[in-house]
Amino acid sequence: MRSPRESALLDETQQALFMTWLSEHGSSVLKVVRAYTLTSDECQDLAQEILLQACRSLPNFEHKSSPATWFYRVALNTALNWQRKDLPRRTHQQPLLEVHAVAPAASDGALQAQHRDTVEQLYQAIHQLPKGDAALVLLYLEDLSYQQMAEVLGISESNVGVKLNRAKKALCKLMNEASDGT
Amino acid sequence: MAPDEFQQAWQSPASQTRVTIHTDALRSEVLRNQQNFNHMIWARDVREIGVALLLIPVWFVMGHFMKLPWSWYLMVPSLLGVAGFMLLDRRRHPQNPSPPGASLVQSVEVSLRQVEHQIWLLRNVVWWYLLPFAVPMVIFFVNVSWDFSVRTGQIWAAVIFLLFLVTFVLAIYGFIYWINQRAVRMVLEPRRRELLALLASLNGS
Repeated sequence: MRSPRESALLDETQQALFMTWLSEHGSSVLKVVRAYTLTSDECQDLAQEILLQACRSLPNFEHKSSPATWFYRVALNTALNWQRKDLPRRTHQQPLLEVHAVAPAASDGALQAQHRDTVEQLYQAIHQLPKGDAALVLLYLEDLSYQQMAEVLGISESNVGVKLNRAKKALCKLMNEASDGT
Repeated sequence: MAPDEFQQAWQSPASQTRVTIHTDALRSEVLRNQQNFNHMIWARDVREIGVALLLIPVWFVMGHFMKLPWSWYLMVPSLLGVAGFMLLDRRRHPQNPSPPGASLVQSVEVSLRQVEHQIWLLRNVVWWYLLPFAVPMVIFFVNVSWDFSVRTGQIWAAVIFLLFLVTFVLAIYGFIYWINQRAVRMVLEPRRRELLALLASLNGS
């Protein structure tokens, strides 16, 4: 059995694997981060914390679930346990990541602008949902299957169905209220 | 708008981001993070258990050189008992976070168990921390006051001296108890309620 110090370090293969997964799922993880934070400082802090937790737990990953499911678990667990009071501990830390927006194609600018507005409204709505429902809605928006959602959350698929229906109704209500208000 | 349209917008290129990782910084930060965590656990054990154990020889030395009565040494079993209790509690209920790759329900359950145990510890702080120290302390004060009254014949002075010391100890211990119960009320109970609500919302009860 490896010591915590050894298991905290990734070997070359694991590092390469981690980077590949991150390039595939990093964007989704950042959406989780935005859904659970209010300011850009908090966003950066939580993103770095998730990155650290993912890096630390990768040596223990047993390939029983898909990388996507595993990333969501790490992201959601860290986000739900993350406390805003932890913020000062990152002030002296060198930034571990940089986030760049992907430039949309010029031809469908109007549609993309509309999508951006909708996404902003979605974040506002998700901030108002209970934490459990917010997690479910995030997984739904990412188009995960019921089975994957059940794996991430640790509940049965039938339970996912029931809860997702309720969460979607709550989301629609909040989005309609936001649309009526604008 | 319908939920499917939300999904479409969510997955559109407009909402996508690209992440650049500084690999070397991440690697050193992971190592530093792990070392900090291990150091924190070690420092906590040394602080809480080591101090109690360190006090035992100090207690014997003080008792010997100051020629203190037998009741002075009653504190030694208390120090051993409290240190032993803490050590046992740390082993039986380690406060390690759940593995980051655990499911959300598992993670919440682990956090809930830890918070409930902390609540139990602080609610019962009288029995495992305050009383084991207060009882030998009060016996020592009674013993010293009794010796003083026998030696000088000033019973009332001895009684007043005893009352002063006991009141002082009770005030200090009352304050420690109040701080602990306040932490339960202000920090741990809200966290417990939050976790219970989250668990209920995930489990559907």
